[in-house]
Amino acid sequence: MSIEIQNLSYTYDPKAKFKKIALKDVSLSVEDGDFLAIVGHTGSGKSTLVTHLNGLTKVQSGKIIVDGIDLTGKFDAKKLRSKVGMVFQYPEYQLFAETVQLDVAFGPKNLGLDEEEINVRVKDAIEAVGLDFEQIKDKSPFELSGGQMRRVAIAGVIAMRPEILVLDEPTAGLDPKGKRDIMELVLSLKNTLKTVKTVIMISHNMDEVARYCNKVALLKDGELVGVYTPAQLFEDDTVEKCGLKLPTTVRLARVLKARGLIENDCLLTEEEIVAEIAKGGRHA
Amino acid sequence: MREISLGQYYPTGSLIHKLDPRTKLLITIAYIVMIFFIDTFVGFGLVFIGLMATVLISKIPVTKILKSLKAIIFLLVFTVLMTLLFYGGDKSEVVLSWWIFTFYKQQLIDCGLIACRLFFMVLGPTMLTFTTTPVQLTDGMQSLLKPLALIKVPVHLLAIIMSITLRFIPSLSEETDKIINAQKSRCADFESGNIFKRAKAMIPILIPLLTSSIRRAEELACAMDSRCFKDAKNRTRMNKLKFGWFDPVCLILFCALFFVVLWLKFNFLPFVDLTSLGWIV
Ligand SMILES: Nc1ncnc2c1ncn2[C@@H]1O[C@H](COP(=O)(O)OP(=O)(O)OP(=O)(O)O)[C@@H](O)[C@H]1O
Ligand SMILES: [Mg+2]
Repeated sequence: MSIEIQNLSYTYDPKAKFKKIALKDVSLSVEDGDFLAIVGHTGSGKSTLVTHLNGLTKVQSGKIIVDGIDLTGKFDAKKLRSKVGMVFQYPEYQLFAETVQLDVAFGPKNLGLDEEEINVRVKDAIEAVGLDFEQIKDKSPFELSGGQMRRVAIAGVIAMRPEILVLDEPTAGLDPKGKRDIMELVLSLKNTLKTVKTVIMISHNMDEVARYCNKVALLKDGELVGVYTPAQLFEDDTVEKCGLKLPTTVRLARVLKARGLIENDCLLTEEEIVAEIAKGGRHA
Repeated sequence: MREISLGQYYPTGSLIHKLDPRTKLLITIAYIVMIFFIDTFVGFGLVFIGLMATVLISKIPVTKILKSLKAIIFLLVFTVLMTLLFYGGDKSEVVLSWWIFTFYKQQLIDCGLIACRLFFMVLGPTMLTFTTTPVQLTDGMQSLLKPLALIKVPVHLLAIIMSITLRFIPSLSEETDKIINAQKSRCADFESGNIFKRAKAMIPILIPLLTSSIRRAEELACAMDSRCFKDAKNRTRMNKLKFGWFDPVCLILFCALFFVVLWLKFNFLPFVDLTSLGWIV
């Protein structure tokens, strides 16, 4: 279930006077089990890149192969989209049905599954996103809270049982607690659901990237700067050169290190920095 | 935000583009009225020269303009056919007789005049939209409608409603793209099935679109309210409308054209008698 992207380039309105080159010669591979973050300044082509993955954006030049499906020529869109689930930014704005159950069932229905299978999937998906199925199934999606709506929207994608889950800024517009809840949810989906093997997430929040991802692809003006592990990426100033901030933990650790309070400054989670400070305390 | 071409504005930065939108609006309105006064080919010839000059100065490629006329070809053909088939006017001079059809001289002339009238009727406003952005048009309209404020028409509010509407169109179109993509990701099928099935397939797009426009409107209202927006009466603007030297030139030239057209129609000048020049009609 791997993704191979080779020399992918994309231009919006290639015929227009001011054509907009969104991607330039991007090559990237994603393996089973990866939790890949795609980061970059706004307008760097992240969304354009991920919409290629389930065929919403047609390949202009280059090559993409998703689990053996070649996206360059003709392909079975339904099959691809049931493999690659896409959660867009602010997915709660795309809810439409009268009840939560019907909305979540939209995807599976379109896949042409039978009623029984659909019901099982809907129930599983709603429970997987941490909601009470019996309580919520007959409610209108519009009477839910923002966080619940977002969960329902994610359930709508999960119900299609994708193997690759792609999320475009899943935590945008949430408060810190909401952000953490959604990220924990994504992590638990990846770890507990047998179906979701790979997660690809666009993020502007380096704290999330540092904490949850195992691989980071950095884009700048449509070009792939590189693919790193979070530890590699936040070691130096690469992200800052691309207009992004370092994770809070790394910034704090650098200050502390400069004052000689701790030894190590590439600390990616709060737990790590707490441990390091405790260790540093003993040294002092 | 990405650019979305609204209408068919075609920027070249020419003198015509730089004209005050009020000038262009006034001329366009008067132009439409003028077209109705023309009933000779000489008149249309004059208008044609005027329009050609405008097109040349505006530097808009002629092909671009012709393309925008595609929409009226059907209307044009239809009207011409109608006049040819159901003609009830002067049948004195037969020009052509073929099978069950007979064409009269006056019939052909009428046909040509109607075609010209339609053609020019569309071309004028087309040039306006090619050279003026929607925002400029709203500003111009607001300025021209100002006198209506005297009879308590809330012109300033209408103007702000219009400019907000214009501002929202690109956002909503972007939103629509996003929603379509999101539902497509869930394997929504908009392309197959009969009309009813397709109409039903639009529901997952229309409902989110509706809720999101209501949400946006509400958010905007709150934002305006929280910045103490009361009414737009004393609103100042960043780009003030200003007449340049080319505005009076255009107005004068246009008035001259209008005068000639009226003269051709009503023959009111004492020293030249148009009826003596038979070829004009
Ligand atoms: N539909 C479109 N038409 C024209 N240009 C577009 C379109 N969508 C995006 N672009 C342009 O392509 C470039 C890449 O856009 P993209 O949406 O992929 O960026 P992004 O990295 O996702 O940004 P953000 O972080 O703001 O979501 C941008 O410069 C954008 O202006
Ligand atoms: Mg984006």
